[in-house]
Amino acid sequence: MNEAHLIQRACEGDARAVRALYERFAPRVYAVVRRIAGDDELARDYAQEAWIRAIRALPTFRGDARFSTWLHRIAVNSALQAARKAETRRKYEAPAVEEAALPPVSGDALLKRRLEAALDQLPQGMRQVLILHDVEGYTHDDIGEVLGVTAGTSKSQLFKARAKMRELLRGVGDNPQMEKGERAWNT
Amino acid sequence: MEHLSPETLSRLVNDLPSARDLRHLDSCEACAAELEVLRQQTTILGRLPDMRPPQGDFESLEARLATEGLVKVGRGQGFPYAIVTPRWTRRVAAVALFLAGALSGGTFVARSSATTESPDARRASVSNTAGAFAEVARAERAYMEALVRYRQLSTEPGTEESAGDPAARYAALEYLVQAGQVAVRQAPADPFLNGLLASAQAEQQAVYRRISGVAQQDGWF
Repeated sequence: MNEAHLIQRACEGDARAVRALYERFAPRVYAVVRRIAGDDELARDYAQEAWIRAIRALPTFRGDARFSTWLHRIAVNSALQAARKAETRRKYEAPAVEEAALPPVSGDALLKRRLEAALDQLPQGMRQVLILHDVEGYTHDDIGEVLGVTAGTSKSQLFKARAKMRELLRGVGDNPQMEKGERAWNT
Repeated sequence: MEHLSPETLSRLVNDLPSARDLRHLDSCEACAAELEVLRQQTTILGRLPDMRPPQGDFESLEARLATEGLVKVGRGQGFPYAIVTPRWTRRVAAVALFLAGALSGGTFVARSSATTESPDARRASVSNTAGAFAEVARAERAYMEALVRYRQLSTEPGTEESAGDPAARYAALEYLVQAGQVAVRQAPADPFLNGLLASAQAEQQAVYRRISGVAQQDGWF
């Protein structure tokens, strides 16, 4: 079944079509909301909320953009909105400082896990800008639009976030290659 | 010699260096190496893979979509769990649900008596806003999972099956109501949770009446 047909069937409430769309796009949606959430527990809620919103809004999808782009934007907006609410609640709590405790793996997988763990440790504003720019490929104008900040603020946050990531990754863990940045990145 | 700041180096990942920065990078091996590492870090971030959501997430989503009327639930709608399972499997599931319900009930009873006995504990609990919301999320998930399992028991192809196994349905509803009560206790004003709880309680009453009627006809009481 092609994508347009699936979307049409999903609009009509066909559970199989909804499941097919979910299976096709869930990893992409989950990846972006997980990185914005910075936490597994929150990510599940954010992902579900994103899908609910998307299915509710499905009848408004006109096909001007690719479905994946449309869905991705809903997921980002939904996760950012949920993150703002979560941040408001979190202010009442002391921040939890967690070291990236990761099971031993090697090479590229290790590096990616460390990157993900370091992302989780970034302050929320920096993390969101870094994910949207460096991971998702948004422009600073796009970021300004979704986060409600200026492009200049987005740039400034991005530079701070990259520097903070570098700091978090420097000497983390027991891999001596991480001490020598360029060798570690090349594994 | 003063090195370039981390923010400047981060900016130079994408932007062209000024003449001054370029002169520095030409003469400072450390800054040039640091810039290279930052470029590689950025490249790798752009190649981070997608992530598979945790197992069971679709079932929770599907249950919520069904509750909101966004998908049609019923026979032939393609719900993977609507595939007929043997009666013994459903009974085992019902028992497991019942036990899980009893266990979670015990946990929450213990939790609520702790708050009654200890004002300090209650204050700590109330001030721990994020914890409370996490509890709501957990309770809501338990509710959704119970809803999915309840549908497993109730959406059978033969009407006589669902009508003929009210004890299993009642056990599933028991857990559903308990999970719903916990969720509503945590978020009393949530219309979604309240609606679900009311529906589950009404359904449980109906199943109970059916069981009582059958029992009376059989002369059990």
